[in-house]
Amino acid sequence: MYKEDTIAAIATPAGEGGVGIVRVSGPDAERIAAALFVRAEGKNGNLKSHMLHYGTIRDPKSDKILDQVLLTIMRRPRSYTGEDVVEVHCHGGVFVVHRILGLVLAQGVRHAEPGEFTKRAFLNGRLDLAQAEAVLDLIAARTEKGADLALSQIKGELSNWIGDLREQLLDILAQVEAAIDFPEEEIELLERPALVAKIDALRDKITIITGTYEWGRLFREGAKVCICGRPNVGKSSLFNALLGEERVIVTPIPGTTRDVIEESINLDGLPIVLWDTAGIRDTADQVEQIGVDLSREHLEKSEAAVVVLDGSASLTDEDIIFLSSTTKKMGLIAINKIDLEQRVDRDQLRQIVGDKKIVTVSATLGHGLQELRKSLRELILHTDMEPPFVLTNLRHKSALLCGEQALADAGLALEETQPPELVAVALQQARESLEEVVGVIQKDDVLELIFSKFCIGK
Amino acid sequence: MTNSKNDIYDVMVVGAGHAGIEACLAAARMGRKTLMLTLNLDHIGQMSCNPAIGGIGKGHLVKEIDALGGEMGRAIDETGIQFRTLNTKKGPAVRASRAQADKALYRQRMKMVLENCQNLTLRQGSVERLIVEGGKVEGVETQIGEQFYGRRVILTTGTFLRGLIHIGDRNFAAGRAGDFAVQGLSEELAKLGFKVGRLKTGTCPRLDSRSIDYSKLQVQHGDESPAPFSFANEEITQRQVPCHITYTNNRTHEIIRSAVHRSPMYSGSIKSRGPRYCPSIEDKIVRFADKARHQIFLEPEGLTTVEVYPNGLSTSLPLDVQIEMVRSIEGLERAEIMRPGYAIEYDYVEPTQLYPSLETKQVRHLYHAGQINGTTGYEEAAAQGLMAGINAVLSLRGEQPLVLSRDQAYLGVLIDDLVTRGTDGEPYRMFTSRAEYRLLLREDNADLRLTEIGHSIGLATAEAHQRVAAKKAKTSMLMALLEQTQINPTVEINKRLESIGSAPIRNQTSLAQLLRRPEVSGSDIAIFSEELNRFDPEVTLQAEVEVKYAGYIDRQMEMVERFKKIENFRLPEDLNYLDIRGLSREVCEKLTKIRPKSLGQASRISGITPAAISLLSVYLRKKKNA
Ligand SMILES: Nc1nc2c(ncn2[C@@H]2O[C@H](COP(=O)(O)OP(=O)(O)O)[C@@H](O)[C@H]2O)c(=O)[nH]1
Ligand SMILES: [Mg+2]
Repeated sequence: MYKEDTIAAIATPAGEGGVGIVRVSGPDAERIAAALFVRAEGKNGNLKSHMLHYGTIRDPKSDKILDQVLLTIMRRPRSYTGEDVVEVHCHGGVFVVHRILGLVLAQGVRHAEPGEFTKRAFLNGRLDLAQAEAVLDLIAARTEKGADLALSQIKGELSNWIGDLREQLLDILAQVEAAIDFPEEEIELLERPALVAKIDALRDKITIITGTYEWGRLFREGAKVCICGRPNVGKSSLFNALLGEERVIVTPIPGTTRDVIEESINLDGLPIVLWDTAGIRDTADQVEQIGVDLSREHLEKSEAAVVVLDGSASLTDEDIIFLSSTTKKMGLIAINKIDLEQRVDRDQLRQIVGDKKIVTVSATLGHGLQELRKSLRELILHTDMEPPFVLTNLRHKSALLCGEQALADAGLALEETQPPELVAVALQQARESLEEVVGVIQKDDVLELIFSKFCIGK
Repeated sequence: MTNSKNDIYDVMVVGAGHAGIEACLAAARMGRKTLMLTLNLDHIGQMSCNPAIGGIGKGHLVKEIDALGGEMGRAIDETGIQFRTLNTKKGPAVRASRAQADKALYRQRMKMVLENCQNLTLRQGSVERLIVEGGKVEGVETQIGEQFYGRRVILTTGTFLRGLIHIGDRNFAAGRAGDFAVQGLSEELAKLGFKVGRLKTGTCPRLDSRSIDYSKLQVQHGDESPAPFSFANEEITQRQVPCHITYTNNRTHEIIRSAVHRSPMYSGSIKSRGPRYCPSIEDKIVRFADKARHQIFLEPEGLTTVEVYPNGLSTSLPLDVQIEMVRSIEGLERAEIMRPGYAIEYDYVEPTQLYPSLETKQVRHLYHAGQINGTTGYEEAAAQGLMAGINAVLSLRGEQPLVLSRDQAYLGVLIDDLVTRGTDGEPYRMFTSRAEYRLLLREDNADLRLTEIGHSIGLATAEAHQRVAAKKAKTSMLMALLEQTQINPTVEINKRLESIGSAPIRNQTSLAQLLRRPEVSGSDIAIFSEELNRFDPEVTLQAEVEVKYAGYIDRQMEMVERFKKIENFRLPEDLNYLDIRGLSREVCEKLTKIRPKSLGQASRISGITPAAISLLSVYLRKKKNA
């Protein structure tokens, strides 16, 4: 048997209800199981082959439990592919299946190509012929006829977008390859900084699109946003203003809000679960203290924070401690009460918050709310532009992530003044990743481009 | 006139260009009774175009030819008059050798080697017909009816098949200027069922050196210590000469622009496509109109001739325009054209009709090599000639053909591209970007990759084999030494590091770790250990590349492993693709036409989808089990 890398994919057809199966095959399959699976009873070690084990899948980073699952290990050679195979059976619907697959891939496993399990099964002499033929017919039907019309529209946009990126990438690659293959042709020497800039621009575009993969979940479940800041800066006022109703009591007495209030708002179709919290401060009041603890908890649980400041007062130590303790969290700064005379030292503020977005609002007058909503939406979707489409396929996402990484490598190689042949290796990899998303493309394109761009030859 | 059937040859090679020479020498050196048939015994090993061997990708081919036991590297080493290593700053894998040759010396030397080669007979004659019996070639017949019989025939006819030279609106039949074309053979091949196409290429006018004013021109010298091509040679001792560089200018471009309608390419009398990487000067002016000037290299054609090759001035414009154009260029104001430049059209035989052994699919025991397959370049031709010669002999021995894979050699990339994808209507030239495992296919390790193979088939010498074994052993020794030798972060050491422009070290560091820094070279670290100086430069280079590129090389090796899996999956000769369920008609037709030898080769045919490959593999498995 050949030594292979480990691959994973969802083994149940997309869009079908009931049980979803994530299949992992290859030498690392068992390691993946150990890293993600927590058995309900007994120790993880020594999971018996060809048995169903009951337990949970846990994200090792956050320790969060994703789903209750049944897991089987089939040690080689008695498995579908002839390699070590782990299958995770889960009930949580399409979304959970994808997240579990995401966890598996995050362990350094490659997403399987269409038909790759079957191919391995075949190459390792483990093929159930009838089954294999059925599987491959299906794959052939999908790739060659383009089964789903609804999908094909998205696919069209995706291919166009990839096509554009690929062209820009080939342009860079042609520059490098031409300098390698035609050194006597007076082709402008590689302008490293200019190439790096082009590569970075490409990477940014890919980042925006890979970011949209999360959108499916965000639009379905909503993002959790915590409004926070020291007492009396106007958090509750702002909460009400965003809601458009008087949901929370507003008083000039600090510490009025003692609970965490939850409401939903809608930012251009993006649902947001908004939390108004008690001001976080050291307090002697026991009831308020409970509120403060709750606030901390919610702040941690939220995906983004809106930190409110009182514009009419200079930054207090409390503000500063608070701002610095949320620097790592995704968020933006709202300077409230702009209807009053402003006392916040903006330079000092900028220094503390780095490149976080700052918006100015007046909760009572309703000024700046539109800007705040827009900024919040951009913050959560990670982009200020409307991407041409939303990525829905995990295989596409992982290919694009590989491409992004390869581009980063290429940029680094250029900056480190590595020889062009190594820059080319990384760029070729990026190109393969892009082509993987849309299928095979003719191989001579770079030469074509070189000949059309540069006056080559003696 | 019929030569006696008893006088039967093992291998007969038609043509004595760069492909023919390697084919003959390989066959004869592998112990087979070999015949070389050529139109003109004075023109063996002629360089019809520019007087140089090597270049990026091409230098790689020459090294590989040499490593297997071919002749080209040794020949240029003895007759080169300017050697240069190209791409010295672009990484070891794309570093390449190039040399100017003394054309006449090169020819003489090749003829001498052929004449002195055991088992080899040379004859002059123009082959016009193949003798084919029952789908097998058995011999050839010349223009004057002389017949030769042999068990394997290799055609290396270059640009001679129905060659037609164009200069302005004049054209005439010729294999190259001064040689007859071969008229009948391509028709013969078409009758045998081959698809024959037409290609075009061109060459420069030749100038009289005495009429050139070099005083104003930029001089280009060769490398100070010229590096030989052949792994058997250690140095180049003959006299070296410089080239000169000049440029076209506005006036040149105007002259060309106002006369371009008189070029056969633009007047429409030539319809076939020429190579885009080797455009005529009129092409360059038309297609890249905004380029202010084009570089011209003035290359001497030899030490004893006054002829000069103005590389960059390939043209088929009428002679009066050629003269005016040449004389508009700095340094060439009084230049005399000794031979005009011209374009030449010729027949080639679509190479997808060949097996990877270079044997044709239509006619058994017949091999095609060189420009007849639609390639350009002496090196590409020699490479195919060598492989055809080797495979003719292996076939006589009843052994499997030698098919080098894409991760093994440029020779493998070249032949796989030709037989799988064809030429696509444009002469095929090697570029390093054609090799997907470029980091593995370096000039410096061609011997490590191929000499053992060359030796095992009885071509590369025992000495070469021993030399490579020693190089391998010493390289591992040096690599171990680099890993084991530790240096400490002393003031002294860090001073030395600073002197080579590298950051100081903080902890104990091995020399190998140091060498992995991009800015540190193999010669840099020699200052840290006396012992390193004991090793030959080629060993040092080898170890340096292996250490520096370890990560990259490993990754490419992994890719190769994956690639091999389907590459080693053989497809049976008699496979009926129509039987395979689920294959589209288009896919079926393509597979039937190319008849790939392996699943890997099938996957490289344009338009073959991964799904089709899976269907194919499943079908074969089923058949095997049945
Ligand atoms: N002038 C002005 N006063 C505001 C604004 N927003 C809130 N306030 C006042 O600031 C005080 C504290 O507001 P509240 O929303 O309870 O603050 P919280 O403790 O941060 O929730 C109240 O008296 C509000 O009326 C504003 O935009 N402008
Ligand atoms: Mg409040």
